[in-house]
Amino acid sequence: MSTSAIEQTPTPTSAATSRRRRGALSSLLVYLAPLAMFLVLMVATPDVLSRTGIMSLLVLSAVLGIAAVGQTWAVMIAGIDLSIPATIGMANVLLTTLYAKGWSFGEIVVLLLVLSILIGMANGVLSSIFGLHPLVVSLGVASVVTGGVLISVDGNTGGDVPGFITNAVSPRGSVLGVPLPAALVVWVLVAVVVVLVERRTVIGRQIFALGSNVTAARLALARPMLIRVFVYSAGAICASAAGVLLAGFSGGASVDIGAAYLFSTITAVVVGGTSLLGGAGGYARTIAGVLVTTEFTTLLIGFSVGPNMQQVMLGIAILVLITVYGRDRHVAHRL
Amino acid sequence: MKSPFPRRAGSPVQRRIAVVALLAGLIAPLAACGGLSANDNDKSSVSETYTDLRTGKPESARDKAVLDALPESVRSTYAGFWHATRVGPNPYADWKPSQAPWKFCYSSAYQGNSWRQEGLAVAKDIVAQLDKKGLVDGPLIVSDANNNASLQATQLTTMVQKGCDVILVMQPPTVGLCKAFDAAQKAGALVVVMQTGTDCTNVVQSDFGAYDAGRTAAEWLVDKVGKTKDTIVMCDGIPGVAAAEARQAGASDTFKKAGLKVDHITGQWTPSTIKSQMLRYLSTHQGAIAGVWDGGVCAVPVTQAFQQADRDLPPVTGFEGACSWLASWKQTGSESFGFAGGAGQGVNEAFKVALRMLAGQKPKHNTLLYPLVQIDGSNVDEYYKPGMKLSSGCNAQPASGDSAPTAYYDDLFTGTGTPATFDAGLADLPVK
Amino acid sequence: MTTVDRAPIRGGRAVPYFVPAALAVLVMIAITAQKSSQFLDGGWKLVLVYASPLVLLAMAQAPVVLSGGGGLDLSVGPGAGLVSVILAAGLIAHQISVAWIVIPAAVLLGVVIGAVNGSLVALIRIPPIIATLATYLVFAGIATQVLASPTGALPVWMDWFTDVEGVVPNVVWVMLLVGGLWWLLTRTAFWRNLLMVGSNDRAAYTAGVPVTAVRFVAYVLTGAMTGVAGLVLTAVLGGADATVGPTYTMLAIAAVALGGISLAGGRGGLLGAACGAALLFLIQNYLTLTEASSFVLQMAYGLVLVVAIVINGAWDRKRKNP
Repeated sequence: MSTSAIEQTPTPTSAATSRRRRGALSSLLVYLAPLAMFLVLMVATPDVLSRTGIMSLLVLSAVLGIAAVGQTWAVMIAGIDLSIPATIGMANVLLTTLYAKGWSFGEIVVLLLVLSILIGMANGVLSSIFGLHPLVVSLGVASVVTGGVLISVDGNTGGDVPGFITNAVSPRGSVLGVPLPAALVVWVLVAVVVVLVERRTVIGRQIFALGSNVTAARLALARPMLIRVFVYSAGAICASAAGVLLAGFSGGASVDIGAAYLFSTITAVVVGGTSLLGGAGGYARTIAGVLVTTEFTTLLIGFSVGPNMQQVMLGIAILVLITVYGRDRHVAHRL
Repeated sequence: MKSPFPRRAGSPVQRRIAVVALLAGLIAPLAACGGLSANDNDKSSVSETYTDLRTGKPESARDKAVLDALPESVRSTYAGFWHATRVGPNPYADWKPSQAPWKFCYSSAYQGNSWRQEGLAVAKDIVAQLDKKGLVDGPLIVSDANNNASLQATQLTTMVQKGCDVILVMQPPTVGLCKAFDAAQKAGALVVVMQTGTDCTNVVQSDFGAYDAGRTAAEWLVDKVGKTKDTIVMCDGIPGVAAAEARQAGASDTFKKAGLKVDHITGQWTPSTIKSQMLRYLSTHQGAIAGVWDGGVCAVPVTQAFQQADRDLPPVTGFEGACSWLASWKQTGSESFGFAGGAGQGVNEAFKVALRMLAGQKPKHNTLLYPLVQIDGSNVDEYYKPGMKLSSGCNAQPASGDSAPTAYYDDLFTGTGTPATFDAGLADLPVK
Repeated sequence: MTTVDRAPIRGGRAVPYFVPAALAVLVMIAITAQKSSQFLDGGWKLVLVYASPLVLLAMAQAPVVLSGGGGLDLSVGPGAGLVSVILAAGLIAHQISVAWIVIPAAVLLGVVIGAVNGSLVALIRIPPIIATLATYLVFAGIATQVLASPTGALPVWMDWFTDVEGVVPNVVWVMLLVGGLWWLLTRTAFWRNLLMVGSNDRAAYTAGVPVTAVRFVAYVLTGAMTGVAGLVLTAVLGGADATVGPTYTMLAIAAVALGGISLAGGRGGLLGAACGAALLFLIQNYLTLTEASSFVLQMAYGLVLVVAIVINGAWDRKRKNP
């Protein structure tokens, strides 16, 4: 069905083969990159080789990884989701304030699910009608969400966090006696589900189809609006989950707590090699991207690089990586 | 590569005219500017009567002279003032306060967190009290610029148009609003900038001595760690923000004097960022850490990072006196040091300054720095209240109700008008 | 050299794309004037001065958006910030503050910034969002590194930019100059090539348009305008602050969308961008006037943005298929 639509691009066979070979090579590079980076990190700062050192990196990766689900899928359908930070902030603030007011954790989760789906619907529907650009749509939605949260709590963002959430994001936390932080376990579960959805379900293939070619996807009986709503809702749910985890990560809640995740989720997705033109890539690549960016920023801190130069080096690293495996084709090769 | 300006079919004359005009358009402003600059080579708009804002730089002769000329009672609070602000004469020297009732306005650069909300709540409360005395004209007018300097400038303009007599400005950007302040001053409004330094010399500034606070906390840490070869980690705020840099300068100077080795992490004043930075630091530095200095909201996330990375918790200072920090202190039992630095006390001090000026007193300087009340092992029980948790959003306020006693300002003002009084009710702010 | 004769873009005498935004600006002016008596009586001049960095940055965003291929410059905010910081800390702080050096330096720095982005996007062919996201980080980092804390010492001539004594504020002349140069540019074939590349780069390439060069020049133009914006930003702020620039990026993109410029490329211009930016600023200004709670303000801002682009999109569709 729809996957075949992607490969039906009329290109000379030799070019297609060479591109496929290049694609395979770039996949290999992407999946080897976290290992290579870890070796560099190990050589540069041997201190990192401790259980808590590695667990710290994995917990940080887990939060970023869960937040990046939405961005990966949004990018795969040739979109982008700027409302992820606002959704993280929403979950963060609502969890802490409502929990302090006596709501049970379950009730809060239900509320967050409902709100996340509403956010996803807003993004999905609005970016489908009239061909509005998801960049601006999600920017507007983000503002509405942040404003709405601040109105609902009147700017007072403090509260209380269930103890098990704090434990879940602690590098020395454990699950059922196994010394693994729960956040990591959650990430693994999320990753398995997300990758299975991508590769084994109809909607997963429709996501790829929609990203490659809207018209083809429509012809293949995929309903673009429905897919977009699904993609942005799933993304918002994962962003909410990240917001909940962040509530346990450090004392005090904030609507701005997600701000750092706007660019870092995009970075993780592009470093993983998911094409911003849509249709190619996947969450498995984003996992690699998440690990590489976390290791890279840790490396910079290990070298005592100041915050400004950290930013500069991250920018340059993105450029170098994308130059290696994420370049667009010349217009002459897209005819 | 082919030229992006290929010849276009159609009148070549027309095209040539366009190109000539294009070039002329490019050259004309340059020529015009040559004329413009002829007269005012290098004249700086900075008035000679105020010291320069010199963040991160060593004390200049002029800074020293200004510092030495200050009353003995305030000198240590003003130490390192040039990192955050400028000191000079009272810009409102010729200002004649209007008669009560006055219209009070509150312009905030951002309002989306509990610290800011606390400040606004206190301001509303004070205005309500003054209103009961018949001193206030209408409710407090509030604006929030959502961290957009241009928007805040227009909001200030609007406030002037609405006839505000006093505009309290909560943490505006260091540059960017001077022109708006200027317009307010010309319209006869008193502008008091709170809780941050500013480059603008046309406002009265009420702030705590940021350098002094950073230094005091660092001195406590130096005492606590004694002679050591281990590293001190400084948890810095937002790079490029004068208020953060001033605190850091105070601490850096102290650690340097004590001969301690210092590393930095940058937490951006955001707990989740601080914790992830600290975790990264800890996982790449297994060597012993002597202590951590807090440049703002660091204490709790840093403490958590140590605990969760299975590392021994060294002495960690606090800064603004967050309830969560007090809760963490009680939980770990590890002694700390910080200040009662909630926004409420800042608004309280700013109102004290404004009401003195409305009563006809004149400040001797544009910048009024006061010391924060310290919280340490001896008085922590006055500040810790049951109900404070690691995720609480409130902040400690001075137990006595004031950061600086009334007498502190007597040395900084001239004139004898009796200011209206109020009770900021800081002790009664809810724990949340 | 190639001749592009057919204009696939212009279909008859349709209503220009920027009309809704321009009308909305007029409506906002009317209701603002109704709310605040001083607005028409000179108040608008100050509002315009404070809005000018955003207006210029929205205008700067236009050429790359027009060039299509997902063309976008996330780095305009930090770019303008970096220009501002280099002017203040690099030139003015070292007593090099005469206008005939500072102004060309601003434009030149902007051109360099644009050339960096242009090389990454057009030559190396990194997708624009990634390339300019990376340069966003790089520019913002360098700016803070160069100027660790805000500085406010500016030469007197820079006050010219914020002067509102004239019939119109002086920044209007800057905008008109930029707009005028742009208008002249639309008389050249480059403009048609830009629109053609923007609406369909493959067709343009087949027709012999040098797609790479056109895109590169689009980024350079964006850079040059970013440089001008950086200069005006410095003057409006009355100094340089490395943390201010980045806040403008998202606003500029929202402004471009509000102005009716298609983010997919191929339709739009500077006038729409400027209208969009003015609209954005007027909306925020109006919401302030109403003394609504600041949180309501933020929510309303988001709603207005969404509603406005929906209306724009609907109108655009109707225009295309009457």
